Amino acid sequence: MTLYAYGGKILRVNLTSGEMRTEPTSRLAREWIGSSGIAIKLLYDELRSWVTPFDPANMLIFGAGALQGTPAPGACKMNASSLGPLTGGWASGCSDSYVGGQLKYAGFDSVVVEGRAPRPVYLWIDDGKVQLRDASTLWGKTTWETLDGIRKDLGDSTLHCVSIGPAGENLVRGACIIQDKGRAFGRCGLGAVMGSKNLKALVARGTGSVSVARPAAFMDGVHDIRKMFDKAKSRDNFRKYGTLSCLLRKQEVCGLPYRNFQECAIPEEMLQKIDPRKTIDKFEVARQSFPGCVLGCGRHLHITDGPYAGLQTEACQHEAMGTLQTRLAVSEPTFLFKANALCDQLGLDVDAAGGAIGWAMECFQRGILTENDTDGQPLEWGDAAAALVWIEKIAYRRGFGNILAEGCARAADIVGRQSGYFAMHIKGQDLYEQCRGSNGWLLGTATSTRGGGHTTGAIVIETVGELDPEKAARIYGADNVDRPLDYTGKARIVMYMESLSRIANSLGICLYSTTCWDLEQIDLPQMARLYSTATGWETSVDDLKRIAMRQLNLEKALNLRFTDFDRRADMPTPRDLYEPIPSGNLAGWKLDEKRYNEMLDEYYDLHGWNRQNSFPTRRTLEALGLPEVADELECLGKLGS
Amino acid sequence: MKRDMPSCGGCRTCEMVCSFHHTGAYNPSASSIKILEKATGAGYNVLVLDEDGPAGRGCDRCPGLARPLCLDVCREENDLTAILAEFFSSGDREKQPEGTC
Repeated sequence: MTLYAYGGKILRVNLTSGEMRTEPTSRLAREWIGSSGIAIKLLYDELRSWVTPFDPANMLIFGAGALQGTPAPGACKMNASSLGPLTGGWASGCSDSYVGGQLKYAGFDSVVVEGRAPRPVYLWIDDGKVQLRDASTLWGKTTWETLDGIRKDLGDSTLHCVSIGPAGENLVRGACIIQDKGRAFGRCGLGAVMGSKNLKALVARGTGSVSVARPAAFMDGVHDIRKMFDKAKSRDNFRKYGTLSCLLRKQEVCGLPYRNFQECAIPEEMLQKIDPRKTIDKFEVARQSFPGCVLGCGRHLHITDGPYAGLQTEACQHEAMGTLQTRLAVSEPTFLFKANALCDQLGLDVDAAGGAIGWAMECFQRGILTENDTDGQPLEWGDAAAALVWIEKIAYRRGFGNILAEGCARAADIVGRQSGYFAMHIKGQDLYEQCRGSNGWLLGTATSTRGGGHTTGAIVIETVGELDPEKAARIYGADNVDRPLDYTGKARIVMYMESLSRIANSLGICLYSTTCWDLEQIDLPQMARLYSTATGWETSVDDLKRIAMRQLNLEKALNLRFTDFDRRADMPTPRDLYEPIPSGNLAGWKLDEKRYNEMLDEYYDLHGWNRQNSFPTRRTLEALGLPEVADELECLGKLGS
Repeated sequence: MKRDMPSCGGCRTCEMVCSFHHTGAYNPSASSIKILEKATGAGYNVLVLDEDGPAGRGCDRCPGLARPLCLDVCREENDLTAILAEFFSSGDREKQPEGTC
C-alpha cells in the first residue's frame, strides 16, 4: 500500500561500524505520527536501562515533520530526539529546517544514529546515496564555518546542513544543534549527544517527490488555512518583529526574568532602551523564512553601530531577550543579537548559557562565588562583555566555564554553599520562563517531560491579552484561559496544549503558527484536515489527542526508566514557590502552594496518573493501548496505583 | 529569466505549489520557479524557467487558473506579480544558459 505524505523510509546508521540499513516508515507512521512521535517510540523500545546519554549505545534520531516537504502552512520543522544529558531523560527539540524537507525529497522520514564514529564524520544523504565523510578538518569549527566548509567540500553552494559547534564537541550539557547559521534544535543538550558520537553534521539533498493521498482536498485545506492568517491579530507585528514584539506586554504582566528571576519586570528606563522593535527597524536588511512558512517572522540584521558594529546575523526571537538580555540585566540594545549569534556559532543553547551565567552572577552578588572561584574575573549584572566571555568559556569548558558547562543545576551541586536555591531549572533543564503570575504557564512548564520549558504544555496564550472570549472558550474548552492568576481549570488547558504541541511537532508545523499564540491560527481541527487529506487516513481531532497522549505517556515512561522523577520533579523552583513578585504590576502576588498542589492533583487525575508519585496507572496505559509499558513500570516499581 | 527580489523571504512555497501544478506531487526540483540564494544583498533571486529542462519544468502560466499558483502563496505578491508580468511579456523572454541554477 502506498504511504502518502511520508518519505517512506527510516535510515539507520551505526557510526561505530559504519553499517547502514533502511526500514519502512509505515510500521510506525500510523500509530505514532511523524518525527517526534516515531522517535519516542523508537527510543522507548530500543534504549536499554543501562544506557547513559553519552554512551555510544544512545540513539540520536532526526525526523522530518510528517507534513514537511508539502506546502502545509508552517510545516517547516524538523525534530531531533534522544536521551538527554541535562535531565537524563527524554530529550527532544524542533527547529526550522531545510534538511527535513530535503530528507523527505530523498525518500527518508527519519535518520536514527547510533554508536560513535572512530573519528569525526558528517553524514551526507544525496537522494538514495548515503555516505559518512571525514569531518576532521571541520572539527573545532563553528557552525557558521561548518556550513561553508561542507558546501565547499561537496561543491554545492546551495546545500543546507544541521551541525554542532565547539559546545557540542566539548560535551557541554546544554549544547544544541544548529540549522545552517541561525535556527536551533535548542534545548535538552542534543548537540552534546551528537558530539559524543563524533558526528559533526547531517547534510541532505533530495530531488524526489512527496505525494499526498487526496491532492485537491489537501490543497483546498492549504489555501483555506492560509486565509485564516489574514484575520490573525498578531500577524502584522509578528511579521515585523517575531516574538520580540511581545516585550512590552511581558513587562505589563511581570513576565520578564530580571537578575536571574529576582524580579519579574525590568526598570522602565531599561525597557525603553532595549525595545527590540527600534533595533530591528534600524538594522533589518532582509527577511528570512523556511520552506512552507506562512508567517515570515525571521529577518537578517546588519548592526552598523554600537559595540557590535559589523555583526551580520539572523535576528533571534524573544527567548534570547529573556534568557540573556533581561536575566543578565544588560542595557545595550544590540547585546541579545550578539549573544545569540555567538551561541549559534558555538552551538550553545541560549537558555543553557543564560541559566548558568545568571546563576553565577546571582551567586557572585550574594558572595557565594568570588573571584577566587571565577578565574579572577568578576561576574557583575549588566556586564555584556563579561557575559560574552563566559559564553565562550562555557563552550570551550575553560576555567570556571567548565563547571558552568554542566548547566546551572549540576553547577550548583558542584559548588554547594546553598547555591542550589538560585539555580533556576526544572528537572535539571535551565529555565528561561518567568513563571510567577501565570499559573497555566507554570503548570505546563513544571510538568514538562523534557524539563523546564514552555513548548510542551504551558499555556502560552494566557498572558497575550485581548482574546475573543467565545472563541477562546471554544478552542481551549475553558472560559478562563486568559486569566493567568486562576488555578481552577488550568490543568485541562495544559492537557490541550500538550496535545497541540505534540501534534504540531510531529507534523512539523511551527508552534508559532498555531493557536498556541493566536486564536486565528492553526488548531487541531486544521491539523486533522491536513493530515487526513495528506495521508488518506481519516484522522479526527480525538484521534490526534489520543496519539498525543500515547506519546506523552511514553515520554513519561522513558523518564521513569532513566530518572528518579516523581511528583517532586513537577514542582516549581523554590523561588517561584516561595517568593512574592517584588515589583511591577503584580507586586506582592505570591503563588499559593496549596492551590498549586490542587492544580497538580487535577492534572494527574486528568491524565490517569497517581497523585502521590505522578506514575501512570495500568488502567491509563491499557486504555491507550500500551499494556507493555504498564508491565515494565510494574517491574520498576513505578506503576501508579 | 532571473530577477532580483529583495523582499523575498525564501519560504519557497511557490516552488512546492508550482511542482504540484506540473506533477501532482511536491518536488521543487520539478518547479518552473526557483528561489536562489544570493551571495550578497537582501532577498533572493527568482528564476522562472521558459522551457522544460534538467533544472525543472518550463512555466506554462497555469492555464485555466485565475492566476498562477505561485502568486496565491506569495506574501510579497506585488513584487512577484511584477516579475511574472515581465516574464509573460513575450518580448522580454530570454533563454537561460545551462547551469544557472
